[in-house]
Amino acid sequence: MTHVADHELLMDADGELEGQRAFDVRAHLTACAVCRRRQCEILEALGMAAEEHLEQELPPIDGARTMLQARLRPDRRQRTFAVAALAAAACLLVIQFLPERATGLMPRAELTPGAVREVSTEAMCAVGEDTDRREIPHEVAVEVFRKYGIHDPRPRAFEVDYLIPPDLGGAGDVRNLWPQPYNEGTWNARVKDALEDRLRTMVCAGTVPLDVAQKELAEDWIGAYRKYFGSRDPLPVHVAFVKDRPWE
Amino acid sequence: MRTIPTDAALLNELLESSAPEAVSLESEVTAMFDTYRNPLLRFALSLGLAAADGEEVIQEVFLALFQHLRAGKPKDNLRSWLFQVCHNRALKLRQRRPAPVLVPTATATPEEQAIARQTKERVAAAIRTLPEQERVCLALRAEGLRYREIAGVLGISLGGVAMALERAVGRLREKA
Repeated sequence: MTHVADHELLMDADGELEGQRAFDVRAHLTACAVCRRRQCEILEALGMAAEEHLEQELPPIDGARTMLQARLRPDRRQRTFAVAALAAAACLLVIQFLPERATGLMPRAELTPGAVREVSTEAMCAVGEDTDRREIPHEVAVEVFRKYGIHDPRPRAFEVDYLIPPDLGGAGDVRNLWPQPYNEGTWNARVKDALEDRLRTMVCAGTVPLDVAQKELAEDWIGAYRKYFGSRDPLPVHVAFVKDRPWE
Repeated sequence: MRTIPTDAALLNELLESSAPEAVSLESEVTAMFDTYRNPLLRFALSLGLAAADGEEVIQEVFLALFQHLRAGKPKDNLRSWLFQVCHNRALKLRQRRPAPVLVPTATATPEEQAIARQTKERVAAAIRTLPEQERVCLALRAEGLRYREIAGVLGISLGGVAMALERAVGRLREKA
């Protein structure tokens, strides 16, 4: 007896088969215990996947609905766009005239999108902070400098830093590393190390999901610092924070 | 599992039962938002967007819907239309802001592996490592889309949807 292919078992269960083939597959399933069992297994796997997908925690809808309604009303929309345009123009001015020292060298998304290991929150928190994993091989560090066009880095001027640290599931992959000025600028490696410690504590306490912490670090770590420390600028205690050694 | 009404007539009922003079276009779009915001946001997250980016994409989708309806364009199968616009906008945003890359676990300790043996964790981890097309097909199926609708959203054939789901099931059963 020729058994039914998995995708047809799936299509049958989802009501996607049509015509004579739908009839034939139904008839086969009536007679074949092997295919019936296999179809059950397929549906079980799909059921778990669907449950995982549908049970994701989402932000409340109310704020998003209010924002949409404001943007849909023509009179308000014009005002919103005008305010947004003014805000964008102001940001552009600030960025253009911001001294480089204030921001330091930022990770570039095309070079350093972030990379994470497959690890659960429980497993990550159970093993404690892994200082060994933070060590970056010299050749990897050199590759990171090369990608950023830094050909002769001054010793002790940079920390080759993880965008997402190993203690939060970050991978030792060049896509997760960038040369961060160690002492230079307001938003430097010491400040980011303080944020990483705070985020790990919150993730392990269950107040911030691991994937959220990873994304926030990867996309805008300064924004994450401001959010979690409630301060527009780095706190004085963090400017002097020392965790990782500079690159030498 | 199928939480969204699959019948396009239900959508038309939602839109057409609202007489233009009684309920504004804005109310219609808001009603659609209440029905589809969560499914679309989950779909955007399955494409690797952060929640904040996903929310912004959803706002763009419903502003586009407002323009679409105001221009008197077809109301047929708006559910597929919403997912398709969401897919396009999410991919555009993702190009500007790449998502973190997931790399295989080569360094997990035995302790990590033992804890990760819980079924839910395994399923979640297995889904994250699926190729994007398979992961997205699973997400759209979970949202109640028919195969032809999934094919339309992703721009692939109906057979391609079935095969992607078959491959996804195979990988899930191996890993989870």
